[in-house]
Amino acid sequence: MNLPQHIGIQVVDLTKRYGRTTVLNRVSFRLTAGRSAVVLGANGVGKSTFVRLIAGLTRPSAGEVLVNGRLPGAVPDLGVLFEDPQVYPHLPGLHNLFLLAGEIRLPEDEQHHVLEALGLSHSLLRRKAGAYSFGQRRRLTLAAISFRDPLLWVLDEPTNGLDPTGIKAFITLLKERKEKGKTILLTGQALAAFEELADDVWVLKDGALTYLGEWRTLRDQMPGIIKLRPHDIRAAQEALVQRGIHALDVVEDGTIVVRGTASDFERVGHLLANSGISTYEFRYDPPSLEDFYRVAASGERTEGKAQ
Amino acid sequence: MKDILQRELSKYLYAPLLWVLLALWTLILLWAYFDPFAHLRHLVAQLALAPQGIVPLLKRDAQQIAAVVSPGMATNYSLSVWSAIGPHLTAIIGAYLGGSEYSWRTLPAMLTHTRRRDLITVKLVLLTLYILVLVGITLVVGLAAAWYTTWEIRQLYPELIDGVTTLPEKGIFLQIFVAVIGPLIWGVLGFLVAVTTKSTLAGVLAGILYPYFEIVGMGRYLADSAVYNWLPAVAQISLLPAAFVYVEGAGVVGSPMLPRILDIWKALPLTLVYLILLILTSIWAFRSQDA
Repeated sequence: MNLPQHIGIQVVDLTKRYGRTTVLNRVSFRLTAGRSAVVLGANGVGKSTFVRLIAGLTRPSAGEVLVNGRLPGAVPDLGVLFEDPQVYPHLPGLHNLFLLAGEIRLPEDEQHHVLEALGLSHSLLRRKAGAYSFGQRRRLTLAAISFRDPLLWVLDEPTNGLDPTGIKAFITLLKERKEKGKTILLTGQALAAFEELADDVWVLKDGALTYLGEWRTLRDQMPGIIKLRPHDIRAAQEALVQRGIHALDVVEDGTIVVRGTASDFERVGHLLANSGISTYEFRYDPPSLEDFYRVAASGERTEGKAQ
Repeated sequence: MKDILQRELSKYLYAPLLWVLLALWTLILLWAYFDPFAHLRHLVAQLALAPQGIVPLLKRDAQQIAAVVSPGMATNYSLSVWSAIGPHLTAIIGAYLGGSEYSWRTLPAMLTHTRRRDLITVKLVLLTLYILVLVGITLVVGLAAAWYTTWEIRQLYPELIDGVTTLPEKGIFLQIFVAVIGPLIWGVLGFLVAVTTKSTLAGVLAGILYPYFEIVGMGRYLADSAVYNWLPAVAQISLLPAAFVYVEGAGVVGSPMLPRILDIWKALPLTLVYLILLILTSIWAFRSQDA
C-alpha cells in the first residue's frame, strides 16, 4: 500500500510484544508532512520501541508502519536520532560524521553553520570518537542527521546529554529545518525546550498512544499563571473577587498570582482597565509542555482529533 | 552500492584488528620460509659429521627443503601455508565484519540509511576482498621470501643448489581459487555466527573451532559412514591435496590428515554449495533479526 507523499508517518493498529509483555497495543498515529509532533511518555512506556519501529529496526507484532509512504527500513528521507547514539570509536569525529550521515545533501555553507551551532569544533572532530562524551556523541549524531538533511526527522529524547547552549542551538537548527518544510517527530518526557516547535501533542501511556490535540490550542485551553502587581493591591483584589476571580497567592512584594487561561488574562486586563487600576507589572506565563505532560500523565486530559 | 562499499571500506581501513592480522600473517609467512631455511642449515652442518651412509639422505632432505622454498615453488608453498592458517584468520575477519557493528552499537544508525540486504552484501564482498588482498600479499611476500632464501642458500651452499629440482605444480589458478574459497567458507561461518549471536567472539570461536570439531570429533566416528562424504570441512580440506604439492618434512605444512580424502570433483561443488548456503543463511539471518 502506498500513501500519498504528503503523509510523513502513518501507523495503523501497531502492536509490539516482547514475549508476554505488550509494549504497544494497537497504536495508530499520523503525522502530516511539514508538521511536527511530540510524543510524551514516562520512562519505559515504549517511546524508543515506537521510534525503532518507525526506523524499521524491529518488526511489529501486528499492524503497519509507513514512512513517507514506504515500509520502514532505510527510507531515503528519514533521519533518526536514537536515545543512545553510538559512534565508530576507532575513527575521528569527522569520519564518523560522514559515515553516520550516509548521504550528504546539506549545502557546504550550511554544514559549517550546523557544526558551529552544535559546538563541534575542528579540533574535536579530529579526535577519535571513542573518546567522546555522551553529549558529544549526541551532538555528532545530530550533526550527521543535519548533514543528511532528510525530509523526516525522528528524534528520541533529543535533549538528553545536551547542555543549555546545545539545546538552544539545536532548537534553532530544528526551527530552520521546519521552516523549510521538514517533518519532525520528537519523543520525550520533558520537552519544554521544544514547545516552539510542537504542532501536535500525543501521549503514550499503558501501551496506548493518544492524540491530545494541537499544542497551540491546548496551551490556550490550559490555565497558566497571571501575575499582576497593582499600585493599589486592595482595590485590585476587590475588583477581582467581584468578578469571581480568586487569587491563588499574594506575594510579599504585592504581586497577585491568579491561575487562568490566555482568555482569562485578557479578561483581567479589561477588568483592570475598566476599574482604573494601574499596575507595575501585568503578565501571563502560559503553561509549558512540561506542565501539560504532568496533567496528561495523570489522565485528566481527553483525546482530540488527529490532523 | 558503490557508495556503500566505499563507506564500508573506509570504516574498516582504519580498524586496527585487520592491520594486526595482516602483519601477523606476513610474519607467519616469513617464518614459514625461515624455519625450513634454519632446518636446512642444521642439516648441512650435520653433513660434515655424518657417517657416509647417511650423507645422501641428509643431502636429499636438504635439497627438498631448498626446492620447496625456491621461487619456482613459491606459489605452491606460500598458498599451501595460507590454506592451512588462512581459515583461522578469515574466521576472525568474518566474525569481526559480522559482529563489529553490534559491539560498536552503530547498526541502528547505519540501517536508517542503508538497506539491510545492501549492507550485508557489501560486508561479504569486503570479506572476499580482504581474502584476495591476503592471498595477493601471500604471493608477493612468498615470492620475495623465496628469492631471498634461495639467494642465501646459494651464497652458503652453492653445491647444494645445483642439485635442486622443483616439483611439478598443479596450476596457479586452481591454487588461487582453492586458497580463496577454502578460507572464505570459514570466514562466512564466522560472519554468520557473529550476526546470529550478535557477538564477534562467538563468530571467531565457531569459525576456528568448527572445522576441528568436524574433523577430529565427528570425523572419528563418522569416517566409515556415508555422512562423512558430505561434511563441509571434509570437502574443503579435500581440495588441498588436489591443489597443492606437499613435500613431507620439507616445509612447515604437510598433507592434510583426513581418514578419507574426497575426489576434487565432489569436494569442489560441495564446498561451493556450502559456501552459497552459508552466504544465503547470513543474509536471511541479518534481514530477519531486530537490530
